[in-house]
Amino acid sequence: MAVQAAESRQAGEKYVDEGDGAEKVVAFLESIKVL
Amino acid sequence: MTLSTLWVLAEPAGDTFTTTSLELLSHARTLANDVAAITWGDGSKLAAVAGEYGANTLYDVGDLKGALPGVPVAAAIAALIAGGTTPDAIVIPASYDGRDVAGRLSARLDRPVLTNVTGLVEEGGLVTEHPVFGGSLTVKARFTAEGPGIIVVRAKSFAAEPSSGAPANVVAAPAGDTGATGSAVIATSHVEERSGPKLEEAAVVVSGGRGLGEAGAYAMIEEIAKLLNGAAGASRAIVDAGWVPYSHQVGQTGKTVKPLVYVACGISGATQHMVGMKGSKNIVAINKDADAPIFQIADLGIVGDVHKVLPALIEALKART
Repeated sequence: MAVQAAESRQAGEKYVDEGDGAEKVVAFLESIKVL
Repeated sequence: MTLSTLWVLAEPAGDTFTTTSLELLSHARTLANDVAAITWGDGSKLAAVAGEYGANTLYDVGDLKGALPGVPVAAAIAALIAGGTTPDAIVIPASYDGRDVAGRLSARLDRPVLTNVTGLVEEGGLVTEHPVFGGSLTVKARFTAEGPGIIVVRAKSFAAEPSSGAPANVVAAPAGDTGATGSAVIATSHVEERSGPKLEEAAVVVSGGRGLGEAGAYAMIEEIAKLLNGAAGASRAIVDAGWVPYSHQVGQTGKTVKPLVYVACGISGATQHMVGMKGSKNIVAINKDADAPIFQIADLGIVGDVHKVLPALIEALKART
């Protein structure tokens, strides 16, 4: 049996919502072609 | 390949197998020369799909006549092994019935079970990978005693990929008389109503957590999921609170999802939740707590009140339709 560190995800961009949070989400969804 | 034969418990689902069964068959064919699927019902109808996903042989336990699969299927597998047909390992989906078969088979064969497996690799023999401590560490294990080992694998551990394999050779594998232990039958079954894709198979999953504040706010999650042609999920906290049914729960004690994008709304990111979704290709998190752990794995984090961000998101998505 062996134990090793798992591959970890890195945090991406983080924004404080100033009324534009929804726009940021929409832009992200567009960038990954969900929209 | 050092592995000769793997058996995969392939749970029937209409004219095919469950998605997890297809995932296990697909991966098994990359590890062993011979792959056999073990199923029940009408095996002849499933020979083509079994072969397409990598099985050379399809052991058919036959019509269970309404019985729960655990007893007859474990008995049939034990009978095959008693008859001299022994695989290197038996790979089983971590479903209700799969776990039932695994437990009974372990007792019947006196062989150990490795559970919560998310990886299977060939390293001079079969090595299993298990996430521990919320997935921060991976334990690698292997059987050292005489086989066959019994391995229970979590959903979404591998991709289900068809090949050009010929239909599997169907071999009858009757359970025989299981006595009183086989007398439990399914009296009724209920298929939960849903619209849109299944949670485990959706390309987009939108989930809500305690940060929604109250059960009625979950309607926003469902609406966004619908607008994105996705499925609505939930954290354990709001399932335990009775806001949504257990079938929506994502996490260690719920469903494992790996969508193209996972949108976590008002979910702080408890370890048990992240285990079930951190394999998503993209993660969006919306939470008013800037220090919420979910932001550590999010590709896009919005520090904000879901009661402001989500209504605006609904309007923005509606404007595009």
